[in-house]
Amino acid sequence: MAEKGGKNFSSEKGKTPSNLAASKEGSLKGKDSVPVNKTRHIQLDDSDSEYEGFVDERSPASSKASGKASSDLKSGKKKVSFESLKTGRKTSFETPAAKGDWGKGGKDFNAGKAGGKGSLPRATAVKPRLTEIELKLELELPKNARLLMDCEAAEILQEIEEHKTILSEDPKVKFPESFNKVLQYTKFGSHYINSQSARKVLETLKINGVNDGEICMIGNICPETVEEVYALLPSLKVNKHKNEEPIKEVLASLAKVKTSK
Amino acid sequence: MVFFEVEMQWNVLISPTELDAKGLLLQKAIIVRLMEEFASRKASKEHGYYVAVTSLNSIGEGKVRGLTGDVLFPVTFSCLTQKPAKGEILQGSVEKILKHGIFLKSGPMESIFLPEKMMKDYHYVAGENPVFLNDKHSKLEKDTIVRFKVLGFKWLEYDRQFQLLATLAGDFLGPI
Repeated sequence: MAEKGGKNFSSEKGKTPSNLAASKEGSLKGKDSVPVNKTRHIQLDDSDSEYEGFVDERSPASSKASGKASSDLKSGKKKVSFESLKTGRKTSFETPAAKGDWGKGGKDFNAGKAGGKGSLPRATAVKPRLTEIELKLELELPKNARLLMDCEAAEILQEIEEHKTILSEDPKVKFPESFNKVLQYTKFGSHYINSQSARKVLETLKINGVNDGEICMIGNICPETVEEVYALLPSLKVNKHKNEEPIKEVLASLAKVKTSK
Repeated sequence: MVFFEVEMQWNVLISPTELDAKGLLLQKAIIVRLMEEFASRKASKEHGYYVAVTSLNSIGEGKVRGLTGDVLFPVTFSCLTQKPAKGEILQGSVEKILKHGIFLKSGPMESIFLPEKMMKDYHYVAGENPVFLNDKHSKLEKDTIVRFKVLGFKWLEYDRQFQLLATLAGDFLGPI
């Protein structure tokens, strides 16, 4: 079934919109009550500013979902691949500026601009996308940067806070406005007696293929069970057979160094 | 948000009035100017929110600016920054409740939006103090602490801040 306006173009992956529309319809029908497990297809409308992973919803008027859709997102949306928009076509386009129009972010970016509400030709390509819960942690380290856990940052900030009272006597010394907010944030989230012991325990996971970002997340979230770890960090599921035991051990060791709260 | 300790090199401009002083005062002037610059820049797209300068690593040779007499010092320093990451798990508190979703705040981030559609079974309950309720009588109201996943984020160049999109779809997410 073609989308409204019939202005679909096939994506570079050789999928035709009709195939995907059919598969999308199939996946939409009869699954309204379980939104989370569905693969959703979202149409990207581009907005002016640069962003990562933001997807704007197409207006519901263009959707043709049969039956009741329990959310607007599921109905008649498609995903525009980054490559198809990359040609830098910049037609002027206003996204409905309301924040409610943000759709789910996927792994593709959209950089070009497309017309809104079916009034302009739009390059749409449908790709099956990751469900929200499967959204993996994407962390790029800027150069010359080291990743710190919340507890490590908390210790550094605590030290600076102590110096701050002395420094503040000089009126010219200025602290960033985020400083206080971040200090509160880290104090609230600190779980461990000291960060070195937590760091040591978590480092052991590195040999089991857990990357820095994931280690940091585990340290920050402070999960209680292995299931929680896999639910929150789905990327670890890939090596579940390898890392389940080590993670269990790490959680047990972390429990020992936790502050009682 | 994840924390980074980044080493950066910035140029600090010292006006001639501060140059008259002896060596130590000059260093202090450089540090003060650096911190001022650090605080005013607030954040960057690459590194995130600038939280604090942690150490001063080196001060290079100053170059005199011909016309004004100011001296430019290249300064290498380490600092703590905080940046959101897609797919990460965060905790925030409810700031504002609207029909279409909730605004949360977490750490330095004040514009985190959790759309109604990402809130699983919660529905909006209007009133003088609107809340979101779900079938299990779990309530999302102002100042509730919520654990959420970051779906995506945007860098707003003009405001020099990030805007986040959150979701509660997933196990172990929601109010704490």
